[in-house]
Amino acid sequence: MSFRVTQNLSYDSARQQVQGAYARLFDSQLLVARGKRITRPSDDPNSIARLLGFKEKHTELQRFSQNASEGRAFVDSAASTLQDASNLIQEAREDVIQGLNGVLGPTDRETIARAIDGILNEMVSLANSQVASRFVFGGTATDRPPYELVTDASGQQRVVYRGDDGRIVSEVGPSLSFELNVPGSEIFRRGQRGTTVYSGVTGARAGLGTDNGVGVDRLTARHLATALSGGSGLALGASSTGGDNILGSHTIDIDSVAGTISLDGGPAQSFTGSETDFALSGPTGELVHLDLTGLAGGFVGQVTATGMGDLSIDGGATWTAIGFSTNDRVVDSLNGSTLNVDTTTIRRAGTDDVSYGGTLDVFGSLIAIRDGLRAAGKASDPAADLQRVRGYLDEFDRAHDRLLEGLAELGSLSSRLESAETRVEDLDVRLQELISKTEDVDISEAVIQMQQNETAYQSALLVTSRVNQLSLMNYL
Amino acid sequence: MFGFDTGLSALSAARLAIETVGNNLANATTPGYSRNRVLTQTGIPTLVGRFHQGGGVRVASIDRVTDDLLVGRVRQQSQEVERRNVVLDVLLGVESAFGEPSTSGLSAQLGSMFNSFSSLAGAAEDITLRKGVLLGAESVTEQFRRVRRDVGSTLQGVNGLIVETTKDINRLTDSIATINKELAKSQGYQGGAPNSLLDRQGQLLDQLAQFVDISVTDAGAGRVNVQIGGQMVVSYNEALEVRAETDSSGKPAIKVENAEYALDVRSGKLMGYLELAESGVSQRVEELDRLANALILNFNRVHSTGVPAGGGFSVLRSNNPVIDADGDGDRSDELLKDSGLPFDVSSGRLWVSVVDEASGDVRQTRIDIDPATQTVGQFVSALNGVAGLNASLDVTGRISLSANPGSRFHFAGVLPTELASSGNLGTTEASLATGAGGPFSLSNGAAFDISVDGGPAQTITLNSTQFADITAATAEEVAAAINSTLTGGQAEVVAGRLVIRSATSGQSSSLAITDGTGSPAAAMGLATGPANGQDTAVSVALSGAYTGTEDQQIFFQPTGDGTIGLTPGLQIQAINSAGEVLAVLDVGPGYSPGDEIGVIDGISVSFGAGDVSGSSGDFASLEAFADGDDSDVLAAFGINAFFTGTSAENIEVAASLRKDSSLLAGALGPASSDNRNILRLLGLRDAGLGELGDLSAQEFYSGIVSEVGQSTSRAELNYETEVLLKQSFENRLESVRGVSVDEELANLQRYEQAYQAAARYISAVNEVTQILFNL
Repeated sequence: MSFRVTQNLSYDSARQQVQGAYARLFDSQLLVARGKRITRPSDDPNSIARLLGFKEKHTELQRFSQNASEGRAFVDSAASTLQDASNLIQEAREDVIQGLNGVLGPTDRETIARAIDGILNEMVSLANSQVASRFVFGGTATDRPPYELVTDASGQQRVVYRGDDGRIVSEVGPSLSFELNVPGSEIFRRGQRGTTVYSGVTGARAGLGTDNGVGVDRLTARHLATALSGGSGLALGASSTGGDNILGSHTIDIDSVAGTISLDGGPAQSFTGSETDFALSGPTGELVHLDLTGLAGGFVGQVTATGMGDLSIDGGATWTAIGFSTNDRVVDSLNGSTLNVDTTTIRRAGTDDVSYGGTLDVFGSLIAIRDGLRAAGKASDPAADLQRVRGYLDEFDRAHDRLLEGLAELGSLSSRLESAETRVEDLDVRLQELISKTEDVDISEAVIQMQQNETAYQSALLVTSRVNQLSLMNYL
Repeated sequence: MFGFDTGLSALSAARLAIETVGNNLANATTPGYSRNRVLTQTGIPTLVGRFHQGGGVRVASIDRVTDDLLVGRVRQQSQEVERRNVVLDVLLGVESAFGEPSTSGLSAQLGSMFNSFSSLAGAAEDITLRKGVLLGAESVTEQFRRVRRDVGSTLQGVNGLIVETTKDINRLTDSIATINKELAKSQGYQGGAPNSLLDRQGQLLDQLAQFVDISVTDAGAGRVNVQIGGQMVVSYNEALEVRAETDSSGKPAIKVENAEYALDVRSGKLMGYLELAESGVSQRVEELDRLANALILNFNRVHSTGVPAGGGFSVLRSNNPVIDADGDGDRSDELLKDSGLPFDVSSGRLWVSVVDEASGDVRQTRIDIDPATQTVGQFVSALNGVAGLNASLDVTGRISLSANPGSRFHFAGVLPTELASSGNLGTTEASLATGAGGPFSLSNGAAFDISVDGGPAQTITLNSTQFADITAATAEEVAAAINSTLTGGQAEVVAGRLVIRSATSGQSSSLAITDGTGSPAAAMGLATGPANGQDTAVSVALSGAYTGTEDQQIFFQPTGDGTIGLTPGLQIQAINSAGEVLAVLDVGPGYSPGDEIGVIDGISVSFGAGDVSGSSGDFASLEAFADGDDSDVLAAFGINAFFTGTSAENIEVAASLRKDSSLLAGALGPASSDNRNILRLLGLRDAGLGELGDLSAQEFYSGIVSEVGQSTSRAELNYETEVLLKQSFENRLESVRGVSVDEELANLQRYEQAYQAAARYISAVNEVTQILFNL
């Protein structure tokens, strides 16, 4: 049986076809107009999860690249501040060299010391620089000035660090985090601890152990008692206790025939034999008080005088007995730092300046230089003070080197941030390609498709109008 | 009269046929109309002479041309179409509720929230960025609630539609029953049931079929009985009402009045609705809730152990109230596990840090949590017992916490900076210790001598009565046994190890052990010395923050005897409780006492000057905790929470945070730019969350959207397929029963001619008769 075609059927199917063709045309028109293939999850449920992931990654990458560029602004301004600080150091250095000139008078030195003081203050304010109201060199404590110039009870100035060692870590790429800061504690830091240098009269040397003091300390060696080897009839003088300064064993050469006596091969001093409190001094200022009255007649020979004493590095607050060993440990009761002293070579009581090599930072060395220059200005013989200032200048140079290292680190941070930014942007470009491939319409294809649909629609209309004109009625 | 009858029958047949054509043409566009066809048959022949002479034409019937099978197929198909259409409609609604992909969808909102965290990490103290983070989080919560509400209301709507549909069904079955009544009346008339009633019946059945799958059986005289899922809904003149009810599991069920069982609906709109009510849509809602719940828990876990701007809180209030489960009017006597908290508390510990505002000193207190034995009241009083902190349970069942003036508190697991009394490394008193913790295998009567400060040997005899099991003696038991005899010294247990100390301190203090019967000292690994005290203790200081992911016990023990910073080759090992060496620290010459040395995972340690002794079993122990709260007790109570709520329906940014962005706990320490907790929160972006089957929030959400897309796209495909099928059946039916105007016109011509011919015949017969009359 052949398929009966009725008018209704013909109209219906024509309507369906025209509608279908028009719907397809509309769809392809929408596709071309929007340019997006996926406008709702059911458009491509298999790709939607990936697409959402891609899009999320895309905004994340954009954030990363923004983080990197904001971070660079922060790092770069820190670097330019350090550049200023470095220039300032050059300036200070020239001043100091000038101050070291032996022919300068006290006023000149005071003027230079003032200049150094100005530089110190400027240095502190540079170290307290802010970017967008954040202190750049405070580690993660960015809300308060990291450096403060304080004067302690003894009138000694110090610059104290109030920041922390924290690094501000920011995400600048997928599982890629960079620091955005170098804390001041690393830039204006002390150096690698070097040998501890003793300058003074006691003859103490650095011991075997590693010290942990900072800057300079004053080691005081105190004489407590002297003992003499027997057999000569030599006795201690009345002011031996409190008046002697020898520490360790010393040799007294006595020639009672010639009436001379000497200490440690020093200049021979004449004596009569009736002195009860003879002050015998050695070649480097050693002093021992002797009672020569009991000296056996005609004694020619050596007597060993042994000085006992103790050491202090806290200005006499606590004392440690001298053990005459290669490592005596002296503890500063005020700050707990330990000084290891080789006391085998200790000769006499007195004070030594102990300078902990490499432990002065920029501020510390500036203060030391300034105070040294002031002291040299006041001293009648500035040579020793100037010598010390020279030592501080070396420290200052080393502090400058470390500052430059900090600058280099900031520079490398900046360039790493830049390359991270580039890399993230590259990644983003590739990701956007993926996104585009997933959700974007291939325009040329879509346009061709639309044209095809248009043609189909037109032909459907044409056919419908043709068919619908046909009726038997027209021929009856 | 011969011939006239025949002609007349032809005339009337032709006229009837023409009228039928007219009716067909008139109804050519009436939907559901079946064309009528006049069926003629030859009249009864009469015997004329030897021949049977034809009796003209007789109209046998006016037939409704249709195909019942096809009608059934079309009806069935329209049920399927309706069913699919309903599902598609709802799913399209759900899909648009999610609103993906777009910049306002949850996926983009989540991303932008994390981006604002990322932005804040670069400048943690920036108030604008803090606000930005909170606004971003609020957008996420709003989007969660909106999607949840829209999808949820679609579901609610479905239940309403089920009720509406049952009303429609009842209306239709009533009409069908009424038609049955009419048809019964027309029974017995010649020509059978009126075609118009049957067409009306067909239309009603078609409409009913859109709502539900029906099976129609003939009840005679054109009447029909209608069944749904095997249960009668139209029986002759009577219609039974169907009702929407809810079954025991909360799912909607359809029942016929007085019926015991629910209707087994298989197709139609109703099926679509029923399908939706228990299908993927509700699953999507559950998944959305699960996602929100996991985000709330994980964000709160991290946030609760962070430090806000200013280094601590002065007041905090928990968000989640505890309930009075046993109804005795007292909320505090409930066990933590039974107190109605939205998240589980596990056993673990909580570190409470109280910070002195002036000095910045942090005092940490550990609170052990065991949800199975600890009551809410005990937990609150443990918090209240922390020096500087006041805690109380208010009438609403929430915990209020406040710090004493001049101090603040937080729950970040920061490292203690001192290792005071945590061992015997370089102490001033002489001490001897075991190299490891118990239990020790000892024997009854085992003995050793201890000499304190050069004094006489004191014999310690270990008696089995002092031990629960002397072959597995604990360090505590041995310490008690020693302390019962020893004078001038003291035994104690530190980090599981046995430590014996002299009561005196300084260089003159000494301790020596001589192993005796049964060699218990050797069995315990107890150093025998002699050990000496010293004037200044070695200070051990810790700094940094532990960044490891697991809790660790770290022991620092020297490998030899010597002085820090002096003795060549002196090393201190950092070992964990399993005895693995984590780091070897050189503290000989070159080490400046007090310098920090990195150990592991962000922890640095420094040793002051002084003597340490490996041979005396010197050690210092440190417990490094990965998390300030590994019991989730803070998250459960919602203390220092980031989000409040438990699901997508009620997720919100904590009200206190919205009011005051400085409470955002982005730090782990007091520094203003400390962003370590922000980085931990950022870690949640890509982290697989256990609650989500190790998927990240973004992945899980994408999965939900993908599922929604899949089901919508499937529904679309199903719908289109069914529509096509329905159309093809309809076309075939139309082909059978539809009116073809051409055909009717042709028929009209034919019947017109037949009529003319019959008229001509009658006139011929008339003429023949006239001839006869004229004879």
